[in-house]
Amino acid sequence: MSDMVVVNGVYKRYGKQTVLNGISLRVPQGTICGLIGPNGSGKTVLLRCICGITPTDAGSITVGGYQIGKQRDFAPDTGILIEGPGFIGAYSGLDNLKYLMALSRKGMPQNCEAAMRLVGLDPTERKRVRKYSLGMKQRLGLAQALMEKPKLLILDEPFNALDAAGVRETRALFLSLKEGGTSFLLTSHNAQDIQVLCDNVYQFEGGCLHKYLPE
Amino acid sequence: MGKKSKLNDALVIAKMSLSAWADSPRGAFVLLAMVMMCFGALRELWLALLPAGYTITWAEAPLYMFHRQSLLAGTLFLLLMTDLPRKGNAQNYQLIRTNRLGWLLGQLTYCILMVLAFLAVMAVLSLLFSIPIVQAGNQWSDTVREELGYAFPSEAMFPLATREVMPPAHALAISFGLSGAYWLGLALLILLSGLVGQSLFGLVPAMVIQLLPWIVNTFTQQQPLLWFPGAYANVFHPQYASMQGSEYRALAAFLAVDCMLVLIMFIRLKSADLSFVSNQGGAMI
Repeated sequence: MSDMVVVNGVYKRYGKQTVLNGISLRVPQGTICGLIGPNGSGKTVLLRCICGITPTDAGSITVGGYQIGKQRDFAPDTGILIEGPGFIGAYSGLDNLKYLMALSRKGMPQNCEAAMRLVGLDPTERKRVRKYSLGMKQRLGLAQALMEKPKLLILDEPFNALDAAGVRETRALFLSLKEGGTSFLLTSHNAQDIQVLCDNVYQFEGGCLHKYLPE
Repeated sequence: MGKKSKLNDALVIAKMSLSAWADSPRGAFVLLAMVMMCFGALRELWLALLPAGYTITWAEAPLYMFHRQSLLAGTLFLLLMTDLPRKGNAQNYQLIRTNRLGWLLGQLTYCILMVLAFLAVMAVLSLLFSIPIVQAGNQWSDTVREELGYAFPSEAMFPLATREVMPPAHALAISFGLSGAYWLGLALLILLSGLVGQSLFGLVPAMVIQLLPWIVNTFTQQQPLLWFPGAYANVFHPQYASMQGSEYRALAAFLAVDCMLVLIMFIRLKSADLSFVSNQGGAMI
């Protein structure tokens, strides 16, 4: 099984604080990798580095065989949901997705509609995003991550703001996508999400990453 | 990524950024302030000209705004551009679908479109509010009144020196160029500092460049400072009337500074942290 993500000795420092201290990580294709750790431990920074949004100080990151920052600016064929969902409030959910798809040019408008249905949103609803509840925004964030059928999904707290039914449906969705070969790198505060979903779990501690061993 | 797709990405990103103004209270406030600024300034003209039956030509209304309200207009423009690069969580979704160059081109396109939109709104509002006193033609109404003996040069709206060297339409075209290039430079300064992770580092010098002459003049009561960049953005700068072609040299200098800022951004782009998170959860205020 090839590795979808390879993180090798990554360092990231903000001023005097070392947030990522020689992090190494592998996400094999078709698996779900979970990251846990307290707030401010560096989970989101690592996800941003893997995406290519935040450059690293040292080390290398490869996604889908391409070295980030050298061969590609950003992680290729990747859907992301980082730092919460954010959209143009004056537009409907579907219009927001269509704008983003115009950037990626990796699908048709029907893909946007299908992704919205997949996460339990009605694409025909013309309600503006600013009137969406937090849970609906989170679902829309998931839809934008999924709509181009990426090979890798990088999701920061994907179950935030979802109700119990939403969490169940989303877990089932992730597991079915995994069966189809999609790889996941996700963070969660909820131990149950981790146990149910993840093949490998790593824990952040003092800027370092350790294999998580449940007690 | 080909040239065509980079252009497409730039346009989509710029359009998304412009669309975010649709539900922004700040955008509505600036528009209202522009309406009040143009109405207030041109109402003064009505009150002075209408009772005597005097008129102005179409190009003079926007010129009057650029001449008399350049400080307020520039400050309102900066108010719109304070959060460059556009902070909003949708930015992450844009980034992952393009590359760094496509994203920066989108930001630059957005800045240029904002400058053009601001100039257009100012021109349209000033024409709209001058309807009662405006007439067709391309002559200076001050000059016509002076020749007819209805007014003295000291009562003129525009300096005699400029009126003697260019007609109003020409002055308006130069004024658009100078103001646009100057405002674009201020916006690019903010964008550049955003790329080095400190938007305020750009906003502070931009505000200083824009407001310091006013502050100095207010407290010293001296002659207006004419060596600040903002003064050169005004087509009625005395130098433009005394030295032929100096307005084009000033325009070239503004554009050269703009290009230099863009060049620094391209150099900085590869190592820039593009993690821009809004304090308002991604919403524009």
